[in-house]
Amino acid sequence: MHSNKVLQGCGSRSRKHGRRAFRFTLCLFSIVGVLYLGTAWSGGDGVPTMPGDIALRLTLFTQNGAITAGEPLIAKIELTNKSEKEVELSLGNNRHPTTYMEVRSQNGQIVACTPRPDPHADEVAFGCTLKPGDSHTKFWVISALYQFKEPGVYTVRVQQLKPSEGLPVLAEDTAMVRVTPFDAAKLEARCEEVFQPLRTGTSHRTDLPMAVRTKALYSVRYEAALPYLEWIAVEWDGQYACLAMRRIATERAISILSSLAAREDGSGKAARNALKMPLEITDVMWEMNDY
Amino acid sequence: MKRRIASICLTTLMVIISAGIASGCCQENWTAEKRDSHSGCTAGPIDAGVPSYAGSTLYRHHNAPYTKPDDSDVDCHRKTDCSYNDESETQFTCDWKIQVYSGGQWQDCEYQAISGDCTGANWDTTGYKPGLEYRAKSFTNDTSGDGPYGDDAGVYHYSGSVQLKAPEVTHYTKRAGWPQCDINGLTLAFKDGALAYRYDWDCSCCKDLEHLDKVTIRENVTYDGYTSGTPPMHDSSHDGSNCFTNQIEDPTLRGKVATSGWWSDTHEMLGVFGVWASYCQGSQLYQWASGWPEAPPVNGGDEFGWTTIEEHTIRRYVEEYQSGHWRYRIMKDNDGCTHNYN
Repeated sequence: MHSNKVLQGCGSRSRKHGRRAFRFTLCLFSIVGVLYLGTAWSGGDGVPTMPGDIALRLTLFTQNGAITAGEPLIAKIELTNKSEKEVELSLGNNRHPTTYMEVRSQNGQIVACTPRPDPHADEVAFGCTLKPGDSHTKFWVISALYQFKEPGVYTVRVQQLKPSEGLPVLAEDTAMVRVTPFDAAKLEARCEEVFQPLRTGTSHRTDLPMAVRTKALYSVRYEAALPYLEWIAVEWDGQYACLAMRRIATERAISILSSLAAREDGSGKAARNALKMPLEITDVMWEMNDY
Repeated sequence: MKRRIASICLTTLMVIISAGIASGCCQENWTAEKRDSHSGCTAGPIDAGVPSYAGSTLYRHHNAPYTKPDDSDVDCHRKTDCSYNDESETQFTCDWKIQVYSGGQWQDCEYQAISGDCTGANWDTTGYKPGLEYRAKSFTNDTSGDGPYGDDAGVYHYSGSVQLKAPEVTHYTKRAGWPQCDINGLTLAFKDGALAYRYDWDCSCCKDLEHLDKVTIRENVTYDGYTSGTPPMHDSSHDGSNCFTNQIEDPTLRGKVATSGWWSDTHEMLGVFGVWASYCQGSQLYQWASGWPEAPPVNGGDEFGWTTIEEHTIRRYVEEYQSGHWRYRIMKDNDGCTHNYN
């Protein structure tokens, strides 16, 4: 319809047949050009990613490959276009991410995994366009998916899946983490390390974005996280910090929440809501920071 | 003998005092402010410049440049001849903080002090919660030990307040050439009869779509007809002529953080349909909302203030378009795709 309007407009200006034909051709080229520029400008029209086009690199944020039980575990997932063409990578959505992660215990049993994409989903799907050599990086809070409370050696596998029949694997990587027995001092030190840039407002200048840091703290189920969750609740009316305290659910956690609930400000409202909310995770991909 | 010695000392002392008076009796001295006895001095407290921000709107992820007029100060100088005069103080240091209006009063943000000097400061708003009022606080300090030595008390001044705004989704546009039907080879497995769109968006006052890191964009689809259970599921077999068999969450909420700048949206054939007529209808909203310190969950409630960008009606039909020939048809507003079967 839009094209017809343009053609009519173009034709209405011409008086002679020859000139009309010329202008018609010119106009046609203009339309094609405009359409081309439109798609080129908006991005996202690269070639669909095929197996072999991309490389996946998984890095776990640990100290010498180990964490203490209950410590927040963060993964960096880098997807790099190693082909010589621009590729379009589907990222899925909150319910059907195209990046799949599973955690296996020492005996090879899958103890936790993320949802798989649905190739027939009737829904929106996000994407990114990668030029040759470009990377798409995300940080996942694995401890939001699985609480590493038991010592042992765990294997984390990440696959990038193509959301079509059979869910072909585009790229994958694995990494191992050794979980040592619970050490309160180590956990406190790690929480402090994760939190500090939030206090100083400088997390955007560090290697971990703000939302990764807050969600890492939300994933802790021990009292070591309480001072930081309380700070987030008070400073930013953080409703999810209040929910995280509720999930810790110790006497001290409930006491802090009850004190906050008496406040008249946003943190009071957040605490009162948290005390009434169910404890189950309602959006695991949000908690993991696949956003 | 003792008397003689005492007399000599007294005389010497008198001579010394007399000489002192003759050459001016005062030690050089500076005071920060004028006192009653300081005739000839006008010295007063530091006249510190008031900081200001020139802009009218301030978005997160931007730098707010604050400027400040020069500080000035005059100290009172007592010279050795015991007369007084004014001397200008020339060296100051200035510290800056950002304050947030919270709990009914202005509070120093616990965050790192912003960098600046006595001419101005630069506030990087990235780490600060939007939706709140902020102001800059400058503290001019008369450093001791430089220039004139009257050490004034430091002076605080505050800029006017400004509301920090969250970046917003703008220019939400259907991409040229879309919608399309019967698409193959895209990243999603479109089935014959699917209706597929692509949309692009931008952000307000953004150099980079990463500025939308606290913004979630979602589709929010609700269905007419029969919904029950927990979580609520829409059962389209109860719609139309009781035959279009499909169950889907009602509402269906799908989304993600808006930093990608585009998404595809497919409306596929749903469920099982046979050779009897059926019809169902739903309403689709495209919405965005911003949160802090994270982008809201897609299923986040009204407290996030979801803004609706577009609203569409989606209708699905199973119909006998010719005797013995059936088709599935999907319509989104006035766009449509069909899939014929027998």
